[in-house]
Amino acid sequence: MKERNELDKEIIHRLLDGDLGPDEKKALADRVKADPVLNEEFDDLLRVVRAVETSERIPAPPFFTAAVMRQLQPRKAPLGMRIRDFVLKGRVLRWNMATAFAAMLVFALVVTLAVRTRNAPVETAMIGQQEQVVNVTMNLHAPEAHHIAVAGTFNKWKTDTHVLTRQENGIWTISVPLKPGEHSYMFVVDGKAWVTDPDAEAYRDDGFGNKNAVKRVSI
Amino acid sequence: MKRNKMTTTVLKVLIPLLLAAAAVLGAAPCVRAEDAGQAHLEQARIAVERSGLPKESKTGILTKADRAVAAGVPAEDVSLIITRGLEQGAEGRHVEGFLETAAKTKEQNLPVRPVLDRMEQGLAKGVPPEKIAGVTQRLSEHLAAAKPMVNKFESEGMRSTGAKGSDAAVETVARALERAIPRDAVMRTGEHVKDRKGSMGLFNRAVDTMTTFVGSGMTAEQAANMVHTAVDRGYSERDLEAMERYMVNELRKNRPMSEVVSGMNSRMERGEMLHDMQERPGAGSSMHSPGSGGGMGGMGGRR
Repeated sequence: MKERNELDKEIIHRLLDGDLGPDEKKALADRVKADPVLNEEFDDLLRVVRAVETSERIPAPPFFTAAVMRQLQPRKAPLGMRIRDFVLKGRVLRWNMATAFAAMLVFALVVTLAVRTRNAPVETAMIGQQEQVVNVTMNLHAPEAHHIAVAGTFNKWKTDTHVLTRQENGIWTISVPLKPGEHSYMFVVDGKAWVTDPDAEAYRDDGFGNKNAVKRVSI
Repeated sequence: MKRNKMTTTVLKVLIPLLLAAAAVLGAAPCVRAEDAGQAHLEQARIAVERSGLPKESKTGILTKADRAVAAGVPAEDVSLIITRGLEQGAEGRHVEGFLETAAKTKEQNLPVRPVLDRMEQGLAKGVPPEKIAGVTQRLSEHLAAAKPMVNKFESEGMRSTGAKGSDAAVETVARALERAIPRDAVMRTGEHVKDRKGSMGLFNRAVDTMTTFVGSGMTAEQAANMVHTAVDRGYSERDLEAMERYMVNELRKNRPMSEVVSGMNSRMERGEMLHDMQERPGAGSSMHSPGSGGGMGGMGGRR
């Protein structure tokens, strides 16, 4: 009898939800008419539904759902399940403009760093495979000289960028960072005399009737 | 539903913004390079405007500079040639000629660096502009002649280490031709390297060594024979470099070239690899104390 009653209640709920077919409606009406208790319960429910339908609609306050959800006691799931849920469970990411701008800023910084890293070999230590440099020492014994510079393919033959330092024994010296490969050069003594390095490992015609010294650099 | 709409709106704004930021940041290096090029050209423009050249010459130089840059000549080099040329008192027609030669070289898809280097070097050393013009014009022609020679070996399977390897070989062959080494000697060198299945790098080194030998006083025939023998005997690029060092050291000792040649030949006959010999006592040291040499050097002076 109790089970029958529960079944009738469920059918009534479906009726109120508009889910019952015509045959089911007719069967229910017959039973309600025959059972005074069920009839009373049905009337009560109808009154509640009408009251809800006619009452004023009050909008839920903002974040109502979130507040309710926060107050619910979370169920303690096993660790494995929590990890699986964290990784695999679908979720909705809520954005606001502050978060969006923060994300954009982070992205821009990452891109900037990536671009800078990609271009770094041009200006930094040139540690890359092809851009390594070797410090090569060049010397010239010229005790009478007042100023010596070295000009070559590595500095576009500029006579004022690589100036040698005079040692006490009349030897002028400089350490020049050079990329792997061949470099032609000459010393410029006192700003006017172009002197071939007498101690070079090789020499090459300069095309104008003189010889450049050649330095071969390998890693 | 409202939240989803909000998220969609934010993403609609955010994604284009992020893409724009990435595009701007990605293009930044190119923009910087272009800016640097513009700065160099501006420097040259100012130097031209301040010079005492006639207006037509100024216009001519700037037009040629634009053409050279458009052809792919680095703006820094264009600027350097103009400013250095004007500093050296070169006439407008000479500076125009330099830029014209550089542009033509680049337009023919030839390596332009040796031409630029020769101009910059000549101007720095105070070589008369007429001489620089002639030398660089001929160098450009030699580069044009060298290109098909190198291409032939490349097409026949000589391994190249990228564009630079091939360009380096073109430059080296051009310098050999400049030094009046017969084209046939260069081609035979290539055949020897090819027979050994050698690389473009070995060909480059062999031709360079041959040119150095000729520049130091050997006849072209002597130099070619020596290099071909070395290649046939399996000498590496480093071995050929060691041969050059050996020759330089022997000449520093004031040995006549004939003795140096016979000494190198007899060492090769004995199957000695000169790279190893170089390290052995009594075989000539590549280390000299500063100022101790002087056989090859000397005061160049201003020409």
